[in-house]
Amino acid sequence: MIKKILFIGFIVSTVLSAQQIYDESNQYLLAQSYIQAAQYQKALPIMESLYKSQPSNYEYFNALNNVYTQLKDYDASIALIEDRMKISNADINLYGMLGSTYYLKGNDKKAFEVWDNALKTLPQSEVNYRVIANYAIERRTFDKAIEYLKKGQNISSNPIYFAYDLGNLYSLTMQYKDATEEYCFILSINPTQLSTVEGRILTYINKPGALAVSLPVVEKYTNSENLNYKFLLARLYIEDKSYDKAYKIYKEIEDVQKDQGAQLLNFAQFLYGEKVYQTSASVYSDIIKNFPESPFVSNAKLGYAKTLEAVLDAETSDNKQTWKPYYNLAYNNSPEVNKVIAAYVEITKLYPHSEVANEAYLRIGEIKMNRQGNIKDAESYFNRIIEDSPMSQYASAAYEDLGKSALLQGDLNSAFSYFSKIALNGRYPADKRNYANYQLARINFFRGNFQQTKDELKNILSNLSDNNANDALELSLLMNTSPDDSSNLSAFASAELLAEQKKFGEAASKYKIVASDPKKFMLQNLAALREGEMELALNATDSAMAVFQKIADENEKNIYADKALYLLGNIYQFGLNNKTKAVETYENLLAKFPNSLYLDDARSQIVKLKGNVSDRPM
Amino acid sequence: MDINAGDHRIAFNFMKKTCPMLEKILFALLLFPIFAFPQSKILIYMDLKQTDHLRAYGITYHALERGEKADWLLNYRGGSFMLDYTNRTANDCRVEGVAFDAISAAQAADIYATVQNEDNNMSVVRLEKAPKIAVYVPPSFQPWDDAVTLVLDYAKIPYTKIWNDEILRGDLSKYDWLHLHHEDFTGQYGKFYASFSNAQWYIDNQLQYERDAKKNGFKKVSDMMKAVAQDIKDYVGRGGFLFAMCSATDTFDIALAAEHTDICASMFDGDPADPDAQQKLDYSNTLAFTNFKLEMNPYVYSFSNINVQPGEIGSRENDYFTLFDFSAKYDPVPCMLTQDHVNVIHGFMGQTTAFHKELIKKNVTILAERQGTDQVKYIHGNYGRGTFTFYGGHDPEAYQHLVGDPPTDLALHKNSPGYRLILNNVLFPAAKQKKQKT
Repeated sequence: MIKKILFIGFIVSTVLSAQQIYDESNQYLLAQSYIQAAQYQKALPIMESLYKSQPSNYEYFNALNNVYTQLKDYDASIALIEDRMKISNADINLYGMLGSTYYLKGNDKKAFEVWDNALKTLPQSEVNYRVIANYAIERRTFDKAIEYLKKGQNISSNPIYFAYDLGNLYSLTMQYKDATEEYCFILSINPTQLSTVEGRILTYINKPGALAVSLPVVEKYTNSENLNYKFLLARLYIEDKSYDKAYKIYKEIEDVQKDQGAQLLNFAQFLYGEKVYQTSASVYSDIIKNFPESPFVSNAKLGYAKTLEAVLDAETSDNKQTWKPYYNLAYNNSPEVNKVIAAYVEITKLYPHSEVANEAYLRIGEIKMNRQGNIKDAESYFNRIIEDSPMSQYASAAYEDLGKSALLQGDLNSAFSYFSKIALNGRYPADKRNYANYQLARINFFRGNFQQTKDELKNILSNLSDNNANDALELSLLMNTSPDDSSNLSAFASAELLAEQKKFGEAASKYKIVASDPKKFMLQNLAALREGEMELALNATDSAMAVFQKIADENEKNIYADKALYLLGNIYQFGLNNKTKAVETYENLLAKFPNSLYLDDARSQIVKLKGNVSDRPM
Repeated sequence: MDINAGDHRIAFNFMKKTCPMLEKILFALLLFPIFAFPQSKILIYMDLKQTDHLRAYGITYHALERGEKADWLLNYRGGSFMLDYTNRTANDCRVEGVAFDAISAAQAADIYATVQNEDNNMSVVRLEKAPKIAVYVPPSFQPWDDAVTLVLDYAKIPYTKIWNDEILRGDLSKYDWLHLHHEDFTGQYGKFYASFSNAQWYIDNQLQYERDAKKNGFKKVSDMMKAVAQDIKDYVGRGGFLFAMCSATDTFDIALAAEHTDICASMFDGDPADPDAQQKLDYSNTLAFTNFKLEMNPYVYSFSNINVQPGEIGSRENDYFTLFDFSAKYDPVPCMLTQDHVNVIHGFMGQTTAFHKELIKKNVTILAERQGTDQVKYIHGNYGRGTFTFYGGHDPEAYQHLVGDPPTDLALHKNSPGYRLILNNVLFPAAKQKKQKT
């Protein structure tokens, strides 16, 4: 019987106990819901009751403390924490929380005192420093957190662990020099951390003043044997755009690593991308010269040739003639040009019958044609692509260059044949075929086959998104306004062909004849404008100005009057370097022709001539 | 301000009665320039024929800066400007692509007569002085653009960037007009916490604010921002012109209302918000809004119920707001602020898009609203000797300008009616000041 009573008693007490736990759990969930809904007043009595029933429950303690602080009842929070400290006075988290509450209460001094004392009285442990530092970070007292982390680092067996946090805090507080010191310290212990360290430094290096104070730190460490500092320093020099210094460092790395120019190649390619051509060319040249057996030498040679050509292109962009509608190419047989050609030739020899070689042939041909005026040689390179690799992606460009070359020589039949090959080949890109069709129309115009020209232009104009549509429209307009004047139109067409061949003197004479017939207003107007453009191409600036002035003075009677005025402005601006007259002329254009197509260009030239927009009052 | 045409007429009639000869002399003086100068005035018309509405304001501003006078012809051809003819101004118009007519004094007199006619809801406002403009812009990087600086740059109107340091040391008195845009005066960093608390720009931004607060002697950023808001309010009270857009509008008033409480959760200012913050708001302290409810959840991207939420706006296609018509002769200030070449304008969103009408104080003038709704886009009011204008939305030409979006290229929106409203505010302080009664 006793057994039975005991058994029933046990069952009842177990059920009651389970019921109590279940109730507490529900109560706690309810309090949590209130907390999440920011209804702290409602959560407070529940949490106080729960904590009272189980003062040892850390979860309840923590939640109750949270409710107190959310309700800004800091005294209750302090009492609660201090009460708990009586039970476990070695718990560093309690000190952290207590200091935190004092800080929230506005008593910074007491907060720091609590934290400092905890670290003094509790056994020395790096964990304790980290815990207190985290409380300081939570309160955003970064300087105090740095202080604790520094102390922790001094006693730590794993100082790197602290260095990352310190580096981060230093950078947050704009102490970039110290941040870089910490990251360099990490590299001194664990060189494999280079990419992480570099990534961390790069997050702040472009902030004001960061690079200037960080560079000397890394330079100081670079004297050590640790090669990673050199990598880091070279990267920072690149950020500083001190490319020559970076180049020197990469050479030092190469001397030690002996990886056949791999790092130098990466650096040269980076410089090419950044358009730092001169240094890029030097680096490529260095690889080719010093590592002739390197597997990277082929890439270096291609990069070198392209860089040299880019240098030439940059120089050409300064060509004083390019503002003119027509101008003679300044042929150049200088050693620099030949050096580029030689670099490409070498590639063709190294990689015969490849697309790289085809690209090199095309580049050589274009340099020969456009820079040296050596048409025959140029054609031989273009033909080589077509004959040896008709399926090459560069074949259409080779045909196009051959067509241009034939036009330059006045060989309309050959030009027609080359452009036809592009126009009729469905494999070639659409923009190339459209351009070829426009050139075929022009060739028919030069030949005097005006009906065919019109038919071809119609096809081009059916697609107005075509890049050639505007040019086609202009030619079409000219032909439609002179339908019954084939003799004048033929004369104009032959002048256009001469202009295409850069025979500007002969072209000017022919334009002049057409321009002298006042009955054909459109043709006459355009011929007069072209006459001025030819004079300009021949550097006969005074004659050109006289022609343009005359056209401009005709005002609305000449549909090219605005363009003539714009060209006059160009002459003052670029040819005579007379900014005042240039501005005056452009402003005259704005006043006289408020609907001109050249309005935006004239405005932007005025703004450019008068200085930067922000500096220039209206 | 001397914008009451009635004053001119009363004065003129008085002189007519007391000095009959004076009328003749004045008439002769008026006619003299008509015959002396064939091109006497430049009319920058602002109707649909204008090629660049935005730069027209820049032209007028710079004419004022050079000491020239300009008249703003309210409601005449979209709120046109009449300037004295000078080659400089004419050239500037041409270079900047601003359409204008060079007119004779006789033609100008005709226009003035039309504008002054009692039967027309039009008026003339004399603009006298190019206002000194300050724009409240943080020195650190922000991943969004400010419509006002964009349009000031485009119109080439000069301005000075100022931030908390300058305001707290009293520099506001140097400026006639202050612009606020996306900044958050509540100290909650725009309430971007849920989406961007790990973004570098957010972290940098918070640190920058904290450094500012520390430097200026405030323990918390929210306290500093309250002081900044109060300084700005005092500036308006002393006669300053305040123009705010987007979240600067409602957060400014919220900060003023929260003067005696803490509305910021711990992630913003380190300590919890006051649980009774809502009850402790002091609406008498605000400029424009009242009885609003705070959004205390720090994870919700909203400050209060002042703002109209995207769900209330509906489809973008139907989002238009309408400018109210005001009497140009008797209500010139709101009339100036609503000068535009259209009166129905496509809406645009922002962190604060528009304001709920029932939360706007009764003494505030509503300038534009979404018809048939309680959504108000554009308001204006007086405080002390100054005025404030609030304009909801972020960028009038980017319907939903998101964080990180590229800036709007205003060269593609030269005739933007939404941007024009901003520029009306820029020239509004240029209007001639009325003599204070003593």
